[in-house]
Amino acid sequence: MISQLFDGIASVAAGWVICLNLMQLMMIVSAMVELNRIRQRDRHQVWRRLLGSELAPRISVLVPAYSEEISVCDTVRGLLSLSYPNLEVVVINDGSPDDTAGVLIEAFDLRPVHPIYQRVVETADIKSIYRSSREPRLVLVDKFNGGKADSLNAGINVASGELVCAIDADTLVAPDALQQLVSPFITRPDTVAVGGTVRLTNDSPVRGARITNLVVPKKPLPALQAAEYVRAFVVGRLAWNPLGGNLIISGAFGVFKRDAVLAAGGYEKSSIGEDMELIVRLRRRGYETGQKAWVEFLPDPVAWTEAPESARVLARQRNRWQRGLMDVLIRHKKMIFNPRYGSAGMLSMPFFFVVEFMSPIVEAISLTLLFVGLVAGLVDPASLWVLAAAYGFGATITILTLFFDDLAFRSYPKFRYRLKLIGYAIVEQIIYRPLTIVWRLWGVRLFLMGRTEWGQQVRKGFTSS
Amino acid sequence: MRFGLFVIAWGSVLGMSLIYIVVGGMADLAQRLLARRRAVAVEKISVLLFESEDEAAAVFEEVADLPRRTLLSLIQPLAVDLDGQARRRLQGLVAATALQRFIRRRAKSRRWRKRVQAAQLNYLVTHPDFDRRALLNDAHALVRARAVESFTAEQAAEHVPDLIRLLQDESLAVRISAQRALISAGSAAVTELLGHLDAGGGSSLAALEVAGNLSDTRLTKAIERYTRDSDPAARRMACQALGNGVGSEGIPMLHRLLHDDEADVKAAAIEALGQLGSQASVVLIGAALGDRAFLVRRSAGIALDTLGAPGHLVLRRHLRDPDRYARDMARQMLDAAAARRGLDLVPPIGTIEIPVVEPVAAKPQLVNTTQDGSSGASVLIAPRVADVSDDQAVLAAMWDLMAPEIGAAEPPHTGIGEGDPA
Repeated sequence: MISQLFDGIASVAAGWVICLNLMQLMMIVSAMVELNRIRQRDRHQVWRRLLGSELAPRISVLVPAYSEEISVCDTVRGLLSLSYPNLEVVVINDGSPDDTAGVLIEAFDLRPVHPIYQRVVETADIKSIYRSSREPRLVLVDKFNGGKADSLNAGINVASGELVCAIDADTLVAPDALQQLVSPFITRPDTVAVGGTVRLTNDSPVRGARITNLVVPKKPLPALQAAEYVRAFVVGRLAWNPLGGNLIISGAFGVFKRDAVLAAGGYEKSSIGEDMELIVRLRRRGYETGQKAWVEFLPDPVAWTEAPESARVLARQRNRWQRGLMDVLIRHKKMIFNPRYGSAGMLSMPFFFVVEFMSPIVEAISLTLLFVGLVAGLVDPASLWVLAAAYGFGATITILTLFFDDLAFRSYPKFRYRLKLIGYAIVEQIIYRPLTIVWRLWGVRLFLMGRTEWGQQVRKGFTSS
Repeated sequence: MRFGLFVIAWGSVLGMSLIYIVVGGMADLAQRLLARRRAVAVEKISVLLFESEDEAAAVFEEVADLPRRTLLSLIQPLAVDLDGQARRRLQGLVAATALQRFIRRRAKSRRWRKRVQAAQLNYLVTHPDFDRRALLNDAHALVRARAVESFTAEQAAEHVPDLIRLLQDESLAVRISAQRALISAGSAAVTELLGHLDAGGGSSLAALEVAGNLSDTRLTKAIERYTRDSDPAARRMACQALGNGVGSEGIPMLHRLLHDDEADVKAAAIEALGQLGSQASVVLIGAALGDRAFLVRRSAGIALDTLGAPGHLVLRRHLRDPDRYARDMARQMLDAAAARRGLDLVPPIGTIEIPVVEPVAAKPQLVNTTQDGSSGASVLIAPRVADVSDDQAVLAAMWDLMAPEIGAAEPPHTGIGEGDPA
């Protein structure tokens, strides 16, 4: 009887992983269809030319910075050299303990101006606002520490653009990325947010705040994340466009309609996953007020960011993501399986609940019981073949995703990169995946304990070519 | 069975890896070959289009012999942006090769993607039987948009009625392209546009925008009518049209619109005055710094900053404004201007002595002054529109008001902050 129970558990574990892989496969198909649609549409776009003029909608790029003295100047230089014609860059120093504000003041000859702005959303007090004598498009907001969401809210208060672009202070943006991200706001008036792809810069040479040659990171952890980011952005986000819109626009790179964000009350300061929470709130508000709120992901505009290189920092990041997800699911639990919220309620939210939230819990329980059963001799060792098969299918899906990305975007177009990525796709299933399960479970535990802090990210800075 | 599943799964890993490596490698190779071929073709085409007649003639045959697909893919993105000699040469190339017939055939294709290609290249076709109107009436919005966008100024002038009709198109892309084409048609579009503006209707706002960009004084009257329209959007657009430059005739109308009930309209009127460089309006605009709507206050601040020295003088006066919002906006604009010029901030309130200014009797009634009981400072308030008539006189009067305050002998000329003690 017990033996049958344990065999059942082994089958559930394998079945669960296979189901996840099948879902991933469907998402790849959906992403392929969507990419084809976007490419056909953009091939005949007239917007690129129109958006080269000064009449293009003004974008305020918000750069919340906390202990970013190593990379913030590169990021700002990169932003100021973007080809978008109507741009403002607002850096928000969130009470950094290091010299983030100091390096900016020195690098751009910033001078204090009187801190006058419309305080539409409540934020921690602003100490001072600086403007540059050399670069009139740059504004530095120096404020007391209040967290990332608070910084973004302060930036939105100070911003003068009708669109705001939230990016991380360690992020580099492709020269024409903003032009592309603005397009949906012009073609679809109900668009409230648009996100782009984020790729990893680790070990890629940077010249003039631009990636000159994207390489697969040398260290295993960032390289594993590179493959993971391809899966998450190129497939995960893109697939949601035809399925009723996204629920996540990365905090590292997304453009929002300022009025819509202000009407929704800005970023939620008490949320750990403030980027996802804002999108879900915008969409929820759209359904509740009857004003459509469309959220789109575009695969072509790219931003590059630095991935954690140590397991400790990565673990903190992943457990924070898990806490953020749980926080959003609880705040907006009313939406799950609620037809009033359309595709967001019937598709996206249930997906995040079942696949993203439940997955580590189910996998952890099943795997633990399976190994206990094996040790106790209650499970047929042949069950391990099924489990290994499930991970094999997982690796196949990842390689298929990399192949799709290679043909569509030519991100890593070299033989040795492909070979490396295949290796990492296999290692990911065997080592990295169980690790992420542990980190996410740790996140669940911390969330249940009411821990909401971010933890510190260690920056290495960009590699000069 | 279980082992079989394992073999299938890891077999698929192996298979997928091979496909990834082999197909990816082939794609690399194809891309490299294509890039090399394109580089050679681009070089030849650039000689044909931009070098001397002799050099162009030398490569003509080689370019004409390029595979049609390569040739098309290269000239398609270029074609719209060419003009003058380059355009004539490209037209010659299209006429000499089979491309002209190819484009005409594509224009009649049942597949919209092919028609888009024809639409994009339509201006290169010189054949008299080619029906451009069919592309403008196409069922697919992208075909219409592309056809309109690729029009030369002459072609746009020939199709003004069609373009005006397209201002009402359901697709935003088509509407914007039609607006741009009408603007490129210039004075040839004015008569039809006047008729359309007089008739009113759904596309009046788009037409107004075109009218504003044409800067033709014949359109001023029509635009003026829209400044009295019951629709705030029309009044706002009329302000923008006036600001885009039908000359100083628009200034009195804009002054009137500064008292509009709608904040949007007021802000647009202020922006327009700033755009027109109406230095005579600085005091009127300054009064808007204390408006209830942030949008209006911000527009007033930006406009005053744009208007240079006179605007900055008014901003400085408003540093002593009893209205906190006006004070804040003035300070913000002066701060930004100071930062731009690498100067220190405007001295904080209290360090500048601003004398009480009496009304200027001999000059046009520029401002009314009122006494701020608490500080003894004078505050400028908006004059009546009818009072502002002569730019030079107004500027002189304003200088009389401001000169003692900044201790300068000569009136300022142009440029941000000139005459500004900061």
